[in-house]
Order: sequence, then structure tokens, then C-alpha cells
Amino acid sequence: MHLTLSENLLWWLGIGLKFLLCVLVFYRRLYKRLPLFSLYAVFLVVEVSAVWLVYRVWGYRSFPAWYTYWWASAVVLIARFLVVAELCWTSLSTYRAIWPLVRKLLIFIAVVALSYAAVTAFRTKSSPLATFVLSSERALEISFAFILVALVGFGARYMAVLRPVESNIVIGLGAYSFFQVINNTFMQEWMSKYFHWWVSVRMVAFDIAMLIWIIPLRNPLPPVEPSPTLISESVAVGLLRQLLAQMREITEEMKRITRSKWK
Amino acid sequence: MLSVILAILVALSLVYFLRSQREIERRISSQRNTPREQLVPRHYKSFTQVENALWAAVQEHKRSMTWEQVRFKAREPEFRIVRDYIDGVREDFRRDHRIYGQVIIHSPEMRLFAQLEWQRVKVEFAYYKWCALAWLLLRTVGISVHDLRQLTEIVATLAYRVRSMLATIENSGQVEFVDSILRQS
Repeated sequence: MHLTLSENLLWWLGIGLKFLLCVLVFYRRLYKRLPLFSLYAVFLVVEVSAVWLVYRVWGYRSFPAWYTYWWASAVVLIARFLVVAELCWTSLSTYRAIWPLVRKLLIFIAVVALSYAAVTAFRTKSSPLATFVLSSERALEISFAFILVALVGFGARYMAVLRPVESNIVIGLGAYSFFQVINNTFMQEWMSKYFHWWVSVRMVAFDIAMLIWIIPLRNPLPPVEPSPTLISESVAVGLLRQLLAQMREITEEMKRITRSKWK
Repeated sequence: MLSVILAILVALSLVYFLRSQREIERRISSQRNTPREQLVPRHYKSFTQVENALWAAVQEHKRSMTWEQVRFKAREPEFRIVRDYIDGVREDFRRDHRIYGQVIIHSPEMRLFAQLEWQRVKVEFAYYKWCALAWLLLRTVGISVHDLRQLTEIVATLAYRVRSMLATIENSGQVEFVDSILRQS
């Protein structure tokens, strides 16, 4: 069985965008700033080329096509996880108290998502590979969405604003994760007969994400401003302990005033 | 279905936080050339002028009442100054809060950071509770000079602590660090 015209068009659009993204990433030397995202862009091109080649040689419904599709999806999913980790690293690594905690949290999420996917794949009667990829994708996509929201929320609370490229990567990944969580839920509950639709919606969502990533790469990247000089550790600890004692006094004072007002 | 609801909530939060980030960016770029003295809380210092203006207005209308018992409502046009003052003080609190947040995030210890953040949340909560009360008083029975003085004291104390914290950092030779904090707050 061959792809329909609309599926073919979507495929070609996706291929074009993936190549364009990869070319822009290297043309703008983004690999110096975000090496894992650049690697992800390369994987996207390799994935689409391999899958296209296999479809062309063995056909869309063949076993090699099926295996290539799911293996390629697994590799790209892992690469996407690394991109999320890289975004956290570039945004939070300067904060010595925060980064170790975030790193542990990321490892924990990866272990939980992959264990859940492994258990689901082990218990399934259908294909373990497809079940493993789909389950891990389901678990990881919702985790990505939470991590990205936490990252942007953290930036808003502590004035740690993301740079335009990073910000667009977050928007693209967030939008794709959002579509995928909804898409997977509908697919699981009502649409298992409509696998073609599921793939098409997934492709459109990913094309939108790629367009969002391409936008800031159209122009040369702005130079990275150096992060503010950090306070030396000895100064910081002494100062912050002093500050903590003062803040406790202020809190008590405010509580006392508020209590007197509400009486 | 729960995952769909979760996804929608997460998407809305993402949009909200991204908008907040855009606002921060706009504020930072607008403050690039602002004189440094305007980057620290300053509205609360005008309390005496506000009190004098209110005193003059009260002398015209409510001569018989004791000064501390006089209550000002937002609806009365001559007391619009009260509402403007409360807005200014609110801005002072937000600025203090942002400066404080930017300093504590550089804490080298997780435990110390968590304790500082907890105090920050408590101050924030108490302050917003007070603001809600002020809002309610302004629209109902009116707010007194005593209430305004208490609000000013809270913000002035916080501003003093933040200022002395910045002075200590600056005296330790981190002038650029303090400058970057003020420009981003």
C-alpha cells in the first residue's frame, strides 16, 4: 500500500523543514551553543532519510518499514529528551543550589518513564517494540511539558529570561508535547483504527514545532551576553544567612500586623 | 481524559509564563539607561507628602473628626492620591521582591536557598493578604492614615533590608553584580 497524496505532501513538507532546520543550525553555528539540539536536528534528517529510503525500497506496509519507523522514533525520542536536558543545563547550570536538584529530577523522570514503558511492553500481547516506544513517548511527552513549564516558570520568578533561540525551542517542544499527549490519548481510546490520521496529526504538529525553531535562525544569532558575576561562596553564605534572619523578623512583623487587622 | 485536561492546563501555564518572560524582557530593555536611583524602591518615601496632602483635604471637608479616625475611600476624587500611593507602594514591594529573588537564587547551598525561598513565600503571602484587605477597605469603610503608615513601614523595612544587602554585596567588590540585579529587577 502506498501513501495518499496528502500524506505524501506532508512527508515532503516535513523533509524540507527538517533539512532547512539542519542547514540553518550549522549555518548559524548553533552547535557551539546548543550541541545536543544540533545533534537532534541531524538525527531528524537521518531519521527521515532512512525511513523514506526504506518505504521506497520495501513499501509502506513492509516489515523493514515498520521496524525502521519504530526504531527511528525511539532514537529521536531519546534525542528530544537530551534537548530538554540541555535546555535545563543552559538555563540553570549557573545556579549552584538548583542544578544538582534538577539533574537528579531529570534522571528520575527518565528512569520512571522508561521503567513504565518497559513494564507495559513486557505485558502487552501485541508488538513489544511499538508498545515500548508509544508508552515511553506518552510518559516522556507529559514529563517534557511539565519540565518546560517549570523551566519557564522558574525564569519568570527569578528573572532568568530565556534567550530567543532557547525560548523558541521551548515553545516548539511544548507545543509538540501538548499535541502528542492529546493525540496519544485519543488514539488510545477511540482512534486505533485511524492510525494514518494519528501519524498525520503528529506530522503537522511537528512541522509547526520546526517552523517555530526556524524563525529565530533566519537572522544571525545575537551575541550571548555574559551572565552576571557570581558572588563568591564565602560572601554568599554569610550574607544569605544574615538575610534569612532578617527575613524571619519581617515575616513575623507582617504576620502580627495582618493578624491585628483581621481581628 | 485526565491527561488531556493536564495537557491543557500545562499549555495554559506555558503561555502565561512565556508572557511573563516577555514582560520581563520589555522591562529590562526599558531600564537599560534608567538612572540607578530610580531602580530602587522609592514611592514609600513620599508618605509624608501624601499625609500632608490628605491633611489639607480633610481640613476643608471634615474638620470635626480626629485625624487618626479619618477614613479615605477610593471613590472620593480628592483622595485619589491614596489609591496612587498604594499603587506606588505595591510597585516598591514587587521591586524589592524581584531583587531579593535574584540574590537568593545565587545561593550556593540548596538548604539555605529553600529556607530563603520559604521566607519569601511567607512575606509574599502576608503582603498580598494585606493588599486584599487594603483593597476591601478602600471600597467599603475606607482606609485610615494608621493603615497607610503600617503598609509604608512594612515596605520601608523590606526596602531597607534589601538596600543593606545590596550595599554589603557591593562593598565586597561585586559592583557589576549589583548593577545587573538592579537592571533586571
